[in-house]
Amino acid sequence: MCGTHPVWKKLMLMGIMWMLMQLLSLVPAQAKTIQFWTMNTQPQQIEAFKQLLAQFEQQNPDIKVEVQQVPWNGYKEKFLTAFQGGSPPDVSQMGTTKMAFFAGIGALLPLDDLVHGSGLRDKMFTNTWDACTYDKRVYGVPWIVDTRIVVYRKDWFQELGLPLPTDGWTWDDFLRAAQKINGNGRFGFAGPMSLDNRVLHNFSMLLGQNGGHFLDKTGKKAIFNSPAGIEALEFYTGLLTKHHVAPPGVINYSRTDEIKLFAAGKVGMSWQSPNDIMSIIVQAPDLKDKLGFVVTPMKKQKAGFLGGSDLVIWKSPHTDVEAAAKLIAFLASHEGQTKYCSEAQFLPARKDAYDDPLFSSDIYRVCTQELQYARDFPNIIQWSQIEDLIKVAVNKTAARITSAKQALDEAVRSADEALQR
Amino acid sequence: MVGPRASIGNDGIVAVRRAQMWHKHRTAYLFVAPALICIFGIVYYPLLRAITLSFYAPETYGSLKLTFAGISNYVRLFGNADFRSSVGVSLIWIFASLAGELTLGLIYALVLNKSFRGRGLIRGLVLTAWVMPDVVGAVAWRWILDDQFGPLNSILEKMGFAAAGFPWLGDPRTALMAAIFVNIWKGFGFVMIILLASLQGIRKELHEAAAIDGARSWQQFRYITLPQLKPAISVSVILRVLHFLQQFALLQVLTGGGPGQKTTTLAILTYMYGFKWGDLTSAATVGVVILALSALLIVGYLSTVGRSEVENGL
Repeated sequence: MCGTHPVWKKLMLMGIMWMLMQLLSLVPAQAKTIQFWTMNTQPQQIEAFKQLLAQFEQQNPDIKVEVQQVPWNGYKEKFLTAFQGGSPPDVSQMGTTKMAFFAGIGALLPLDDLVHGSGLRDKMFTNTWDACTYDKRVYGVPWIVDTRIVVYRKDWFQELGLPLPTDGWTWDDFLRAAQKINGNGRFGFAGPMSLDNRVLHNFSMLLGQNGGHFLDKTGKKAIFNSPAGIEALEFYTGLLTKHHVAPPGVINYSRTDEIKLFAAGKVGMSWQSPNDIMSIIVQAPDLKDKLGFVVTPMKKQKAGFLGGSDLVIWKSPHTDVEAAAKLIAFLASHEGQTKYCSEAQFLPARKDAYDDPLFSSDIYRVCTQELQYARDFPNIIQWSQIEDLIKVAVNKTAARITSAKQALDEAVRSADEALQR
Repeated sequence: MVGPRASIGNDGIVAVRRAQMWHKHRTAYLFVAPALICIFGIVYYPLLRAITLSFYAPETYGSLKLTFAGISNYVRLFGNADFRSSVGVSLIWIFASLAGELTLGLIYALVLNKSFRGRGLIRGLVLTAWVMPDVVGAVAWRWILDDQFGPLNSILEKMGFAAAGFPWLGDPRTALMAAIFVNIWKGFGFVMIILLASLQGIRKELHEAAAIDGARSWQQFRYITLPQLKPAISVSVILRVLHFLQQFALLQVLTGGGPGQKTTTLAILTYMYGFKWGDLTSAATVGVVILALSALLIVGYLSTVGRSEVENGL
C-alpha cells in the first residue's frame, strides 16, 4: 500500500516540514513594516541612511523599515501618483516647498500631538517649523535644512590678486570678481537659468537680498514683479546676457551640469549646498584644498535660501501611526541627526547637533552663518505652480525672449489667477 | 395540434438560440474576455474619465473635491496664452518631424531596396535609433549638443565655425529645431521599415516595362514607385501624427519645455498641469484637446488622401 511505503512516508514528512517552514516564515511578517520613501541619491547618503536605520531596528526589533529611494527630480509627481492611487508610503521625506500642497490636498496626517508631546519644537531651528505648518496645524517634523553658500576657487582669487570674499561682501564685489576670473576657458559663474529648481533657489536669495518678497502680507497677491524683483532678475540673468560671465548653456543647465562644469575646473564661483560641495570634491578630489567658502553676497540686506526636508506621515488606512511616529522621533533625535547628517553632508534641522565636533568644518561654519538670515518660501498650496511660473520667467529673461519686467509681470498675472482660485 | 415551437413562442426561440450561441462560442468569449476587460480598464475607462473630469473643477485650488463646472475649463484654457503657444509648438513639432521622417525614411528605403554590400548593417543601425528608449536617446543627444562638453560644438569649431559654447537646446532660436532633429533621427527608421516593406512588394515587371518604354529613373519613381507607396505613406502619416501628439519623454529630457515655453507641447503642458501642479481637471481638459486635435488631423488627412489609400496600406 502506498500509504505505508517508505518513499511515501518520506514525502509526507517533507510535506509537513515544508508547511511548518511556511508557517514559521509568517512569524516575522507580523512585525510592523514601515514603508519609508527618501530622496537620498548619492551612495554615501544611502549607506549612511542604511546604517542609521539598522540602529533604529536594533532599538525597535518589532519594527522593520523598508526604504525606497526616489529621485528629487520628479518626486512630487511620484508622491502624488502614489497617493491618488491609494498606495502612498507610511513615512517619507518631503521637500519644504511641497509641504503645503500635500497637506492642503489632505494627504498628510496632522502631527500636532506628536510634536507637542516630544519637546521637539524647541530643539529645531525656529524658522523650520513654518514650512511644517499649514492652516494652523503641524504636518511635519523638520529633518534636514538646506541653504546655499558661495564656493569659490581660492587659488584663482590669489592668482588674480583678488581679495578673498568675506561676510558682508556685495553684489558688486561678486560681479567684479566674476568679471576678473572670466576668460581663457574660465567662467566667473555658472548658475542654472533653466527650468531647474536651482533657479528658484537662486532667485529667492537675490529677491530677499534686494528687499523684495514673493507675496504681500495677505498672501493673496503676488508681488515679485516689484522693482526689487525686477532688479534681482536683471542682476541674475545679466551675468549671462549683459556681463557674459556665465556659459551660454546655463539656459538649459541642471544642478548636475553646474557641478560637472565646476569640477572640470571651468568655473570660479558657484552657489552650492554642503551636499553639492561634496559632489564637486568627489568628482574632482584635487580641488579640495583650492576651494574657499563664504556667505552669499548682499545688496540692501543679507538674505539666504532656506530649503530642506521634513518628515511626514501619510494618511492611509494601512499606516501604522504608532510605529511611524517612533521612526520620526528617532530620525529627529540628536542621535539620529548628527552621524547621518555629517556623513551624508547634510545640515541637521536640530540646533544642538551643531555642537558636535563633526560639524566644525569651514563649510558648516559658513552654512550656519547663512542660515541665520535664510528665508523660507510662502507656505501655500499654490506654491508649486507659482515656483514654476518664476522659473519660466527667469528662463525667458535669460534666453532674451522677454525683458525681466515683462517676464515677471506675466508670471505675477498667472500667479494671482492661481491665488484667487 | 400545437407543436413545441408554437408553444414556446418567438421570444422563446430567440432566447434558445442565444443560449445555443453562448454554449457554442463560450470558450471563444471566455478567451476574449480578459483582453476586453483590460482594454476597457486601461483605454476606455481612463478616456471616459478624462472627458468627464474636463467638465469638473476642484472646489478650491488643489482640492480633490470636484464640482460640475460646465465648459469653464475650456474657456479658461483657450484664453490662456501658454495653452495657445503650446498648440502652435505642437503643430510645428508634428509637421516638421513628419516631413523630416518621411523624407529620410523614403530616401533610406529607396537606397536599402537596392542590393549592395553592408545593406543589413545600415538597416540595423537605422533601426537601433528607433528601438532605443526615448530617454536613452535624449540623454545621449543632450551630451552631444552640450555647450561645453558636447562633441558637436568641438567638431564645428574644428571645421572653422564659431560654435564654441553654443547652447543648441537652450537658445530660443534653435531649441525646437534641435529637438525636432533628434526626434527625426529617433523615428525615421520606423517610416523606413514600413516603406521598405511596401517597396519590396512592387513587381519588378512594372519597372522593366517602363524602362523598355523609355521612362527615366525619375519618371519611374514618380509614376510607378510613388503611387504604389501611397497606402504605406498614409499609414505612416497617421501612426506618426498620433505618436508625435502624445510624445513626452524625449522633449522632457532634452529641454523640459524650455527655454521659456518655446518647446512646451500639449503633452508637456498636460504633464505640468496634472503632475507638477496637481490640477487634474485642467490636465484632463488639455488631454481632451489632444484627442480632438488627433481626430481633426486624421479626419482632415483621410478626406484629402481618401480612406481607401489607408485601408490598402493596413
